[in-house]
Amino acid sequence: MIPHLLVYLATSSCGTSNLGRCPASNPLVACTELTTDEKIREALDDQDLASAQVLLEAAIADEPENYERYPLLAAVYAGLSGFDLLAIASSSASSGGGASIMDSMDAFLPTPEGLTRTEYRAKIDLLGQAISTIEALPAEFLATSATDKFASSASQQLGIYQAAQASMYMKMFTTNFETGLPDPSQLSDLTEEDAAAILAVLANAAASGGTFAEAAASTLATINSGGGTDRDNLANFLST
Amino acid sequence: MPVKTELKYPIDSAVLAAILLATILWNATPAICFARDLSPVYEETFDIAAGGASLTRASRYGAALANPALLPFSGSFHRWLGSEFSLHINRESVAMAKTMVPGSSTSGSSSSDFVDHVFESPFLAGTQTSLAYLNAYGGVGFFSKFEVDLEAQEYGPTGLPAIILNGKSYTGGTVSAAGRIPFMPLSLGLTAKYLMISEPNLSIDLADPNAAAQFQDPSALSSLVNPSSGIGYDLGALLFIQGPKVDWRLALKIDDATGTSFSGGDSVEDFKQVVSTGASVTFHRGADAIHIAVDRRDLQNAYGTPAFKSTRAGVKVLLRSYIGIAAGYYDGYPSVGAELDFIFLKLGAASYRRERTDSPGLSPRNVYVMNLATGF
Repeated sequence: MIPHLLVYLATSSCGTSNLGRCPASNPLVACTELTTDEKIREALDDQDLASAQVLLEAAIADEPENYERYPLLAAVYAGLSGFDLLAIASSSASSGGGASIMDSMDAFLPTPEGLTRTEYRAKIDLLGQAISTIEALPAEFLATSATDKFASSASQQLGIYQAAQASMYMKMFTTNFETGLPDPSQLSDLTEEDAAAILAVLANAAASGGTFAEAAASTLATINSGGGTDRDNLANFLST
Repeated sequence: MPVKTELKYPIDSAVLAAILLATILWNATPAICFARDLSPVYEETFDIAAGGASLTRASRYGAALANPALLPFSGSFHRWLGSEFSLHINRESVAMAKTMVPGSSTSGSSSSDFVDHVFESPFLAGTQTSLAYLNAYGGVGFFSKFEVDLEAQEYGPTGLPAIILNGKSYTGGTVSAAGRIPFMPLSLGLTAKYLMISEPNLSIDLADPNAAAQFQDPSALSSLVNPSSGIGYDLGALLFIQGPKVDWRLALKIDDATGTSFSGGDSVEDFKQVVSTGASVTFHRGADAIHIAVDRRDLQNAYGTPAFKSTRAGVKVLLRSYIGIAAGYYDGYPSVGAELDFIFLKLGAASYRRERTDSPGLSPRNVYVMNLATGF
């Protein structure tokens, strides 16, 4: 009887599956259901961002005061937009020294090549959702100097996403969507509303105090030194 | 790996097997919350290969910590005098570890190679050493165990890419005493242990320069291995019913009786008292034996351990006292291993999966263990 029991135990859970995994693979050991946060972690580790988004949005709706999930959802939105968080980490993350925000961000952003303007705009909007998600946190969760790691991270993320969104916005008017190459003729599509929106995001990034704040401030100062309208100043900056 | 037959109690084997195993297995209760590793602070390679079901049979120094009541049933006065060294590494990091060995043909890999590796798969490595003397009435031993687990997450706990470091540094000494109860097939044992423990556990945001900078300070790094110390006691009992061809064992073990408190160093959670039971049957003929065991740990659910982690099961096949083969279930995954006994030199190897969380399949580690023991 005993050898039979052990053979049964062994054959029903060989390979990589765990005996306790739900649905029950073996009646001798009670199966264990993953919690919501464990399902989220599994989706994130599997790079299944679509599932992670669904799980996080539902979890935040159910428990809006569980603030540790907000930065995770923001990161998922950023990932879905094509923003390469890992590249940010593996770079020195040094964007100071007066470098343009576009130069600083270029390596981490999705290229418009092969996309329609609508598709690229959707990616910019996803970064906007990432920013909104972080901004929905209470102020104490956004303190740059906070010792709480979640607050510090959320603050860092906000600055990064603002800088990324501003840079993607500007790329819309400097890049040929078919070739992915620089194309000054795209600037003809730049409107005053677009320029105002870009400068507003840049100003927020400069004020964030995050990793790319210095680059954002430097870029904003260069644009505003033109003396014309927002649109003309931005067009001049982007055409150089 | 001797098999003794000095006690003889006629008993219906099938009935007893059914009672013992059913008692343990059907007592399984689903529990989903945080739990610590229920393995002894020092665990032998061959016992790991047998699923960690070591309450009713354990190897060498491992017996003192698995269940001190095992000592009187070793078959002779002398049980073990010797030292051991074992190396643990996860399967995915074997190639990387080779490059880190000085003098190897591929040595000299950069730190960026290592980080790249950690982003592809976790890195786990550890060592365990011991020096011990044990006889049928007790003994003394010293052990040291160090393990580091590094995992990189593109979406870390705070959303940003992070490296998660979990470390374990256990050093200690034990004094054991054990004896049989006269006229009964029962033994009792006690192991007093002095432990120095450090369990660093941290997450470093790679995109946060402030987070990374704080670990460039050597004092911050040294604080990660600032041990806490404490004294604890393990109690064990073993009912050993021996027949001419079949032996039965039923064990009861209390780990960290009344709890083990730690002081000094970094804050380490006190060890709670854990009550465990195990049952086994051994079929033997001459020097050959098949030992089938099941343990059910943390009966009182002190740590809220889920059933797949608290249930241990395994088989040890012992041939001519020189070769041992083992297989079992460890943390809900299959385990396997073997040991060769050359009298004064014992070589062992095992492969098993360990689940780091309380959730099956969420964060497993495929671990290889190699063991070298010298002694007799």
